[in-house]
Amino acid sequence: MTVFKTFLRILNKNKMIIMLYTGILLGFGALNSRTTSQDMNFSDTKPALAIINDDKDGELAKDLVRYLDEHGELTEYDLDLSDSDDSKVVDDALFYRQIHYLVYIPKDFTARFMAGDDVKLTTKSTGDFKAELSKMLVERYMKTANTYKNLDVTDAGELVEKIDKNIDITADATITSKLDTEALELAGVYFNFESYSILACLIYVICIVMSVFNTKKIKDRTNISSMDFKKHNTILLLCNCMYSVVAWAFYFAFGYVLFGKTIISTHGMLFAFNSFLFTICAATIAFFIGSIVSNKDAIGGIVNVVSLGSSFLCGAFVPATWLPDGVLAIAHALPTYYYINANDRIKQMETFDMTSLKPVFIDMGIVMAFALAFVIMTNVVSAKKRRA
Amino acid sequence: MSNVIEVKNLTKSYKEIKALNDLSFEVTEGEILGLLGPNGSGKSTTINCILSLLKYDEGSITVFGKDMKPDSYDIKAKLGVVFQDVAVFDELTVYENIDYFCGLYIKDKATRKKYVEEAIDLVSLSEFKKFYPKKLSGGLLRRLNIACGIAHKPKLIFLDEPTVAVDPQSRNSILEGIMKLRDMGATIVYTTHYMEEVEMICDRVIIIDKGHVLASGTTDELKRLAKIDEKIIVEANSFDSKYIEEIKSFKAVHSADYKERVLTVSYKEGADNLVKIIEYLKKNHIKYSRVYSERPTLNDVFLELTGKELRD
Repeated sequence: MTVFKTFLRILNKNKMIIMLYTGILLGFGALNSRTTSQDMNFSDTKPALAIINDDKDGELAKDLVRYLDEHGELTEYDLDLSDSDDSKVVDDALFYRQIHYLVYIPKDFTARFMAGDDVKLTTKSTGDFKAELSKMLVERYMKTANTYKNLDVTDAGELVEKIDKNIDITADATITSKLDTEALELAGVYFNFESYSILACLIYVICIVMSVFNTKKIKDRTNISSMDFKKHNTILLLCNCMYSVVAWAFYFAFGYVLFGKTIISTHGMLFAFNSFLFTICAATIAFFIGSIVSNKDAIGGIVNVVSLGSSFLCGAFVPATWLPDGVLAIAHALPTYYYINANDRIKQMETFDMTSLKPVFIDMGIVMAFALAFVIMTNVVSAKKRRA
Repeated sequence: MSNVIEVKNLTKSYKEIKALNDLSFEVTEGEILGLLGPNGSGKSTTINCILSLLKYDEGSITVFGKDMKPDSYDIKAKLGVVFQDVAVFDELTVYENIDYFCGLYIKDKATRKKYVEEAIDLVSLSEFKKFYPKKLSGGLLRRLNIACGIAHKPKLIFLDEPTVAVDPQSRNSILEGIMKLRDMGATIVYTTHYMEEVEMICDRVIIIDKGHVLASGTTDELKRLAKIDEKIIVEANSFDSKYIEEIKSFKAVHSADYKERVLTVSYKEGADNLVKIIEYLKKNHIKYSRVYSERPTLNDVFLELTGKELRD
């Protein structure tokens, strides 16, 4: 009780800075999840197309123009591509992204196509994805036209009729998932960010308290006392874990305010359990750092290096799938990676059977193994430092 | 009386420097043993080795008849230490500090409360119970440091220069407190480089230099090693060297040395030496501000044994 009370008194003495630091970091986590755009919905996009039609009376050419106008933002140019000035106008429009794709329909295009000639459409492109989309539209139209032409349709009017009838046949697809993907995505961002905010907060606060207990002369006084050194260390570790759980509870409560029902759903509970285990692991990391660092001035630097470093490397700020293999290889040696991995698995879970839960539990187990390793390392280092 | 501490052939090196060199001594139950030596002589290293805070290269240490190891918690329960540097929590009040360190030994709340109050009384800090260390003067801080080390009523107490940078009033209070502890049955190992303190409180003294024992015994026994019986001190603004040479030739004079406006005449044996010196000064019209007689000090013993002064 004596050590516990003293721990609380030291916390109390530093309460302003601790509350400030805890509040800023936890608030920052909440803010981050609110401002990060993780839109997973799809929306139709229309490319900007331009067309030069030298077969104005041809039915197939007219229908192609109509089709492109329907699926894109179409601009018709009355230009001659063989003229250098006109060609420059087109090049400038492409360069400044006023258009993404230009289609030139040559003279007598319809007649030659119906006659069975291999008529080529001349195109110019910006090469980006909207240009690719435009290219797809043109190719789709021409493939359909070729298909009916090969079925011995000889009249242009009939060909156009058949193309129009079949080219836009669509199939209805229904997403059967009942997941609120947007809410889970945001909750995932919130809990992934926790790897930074909780780790930074715990390292800072625990190192401040531990630096007091680890002052050389106070440490000596403790070492020469009749209190078992391991018992003393265990009490301090438990005290630190207690503070950590309080910080976690704040973060969780904050999450409830932000995400409401999502947090108390099965997904939310799994997120919470995962973050709880990570908090315990973070407490052991902080305890380890606190046992080797007694210089208060160094704490700020250590907080940034450890918490920011591990969060960047492990995909707390940038999705892990975007990170290079080399970075991910390093991340595998850090508990944060497994914590974020588990979060990413949780948010994608449709069912909660053993098959889907097992990889999450494995990640959680690895995080706890890290926690155990840090406790052992702390004891070894403390025992070595005990007797110079 | 049995030996509470037995140190045999203790050797400890810091890289090239030998801090302790084949050091051996015993501490008897109920005594105040003074470890006297200049700064860097190995006093603190000796204590840290006994407390298992430092590893040593060779030798053996037994405390209360058992080998002292880092996990000797049964022995540690009987030890109290007052370090040279103040070791208290700035975040705790005077009472809370003493309660914390006492709590490392005493589990029972009521007993602990009683012990903490007694320790506060012993070092006269009753008025400052609720003060934080930063509000205390240097002397009061030292007293708090002592209270933290002795509140659990240890049988063996190590005091490592507890009066460094302390005002005379606090120093006297601390020394009286230490004697009280001895009278209450504690054995005390007291390290210092203040010979006056050693002479005032120690039952036995060990003089250490360069990590080994130069001499040991009671203060009287040690003073006999100085080979002088009396010192006459003459304070004068100037002193002609011819007079110093004449004084040196007086009967029983061991040495005469004029330094920093003070002439010190050491006598191998003492009888009417002061009278003879005053008569000589009068006869030669030598002006002086003060003249007095002094018994040899432990500094003289140290000077005799090493050729240098304790505070060099």
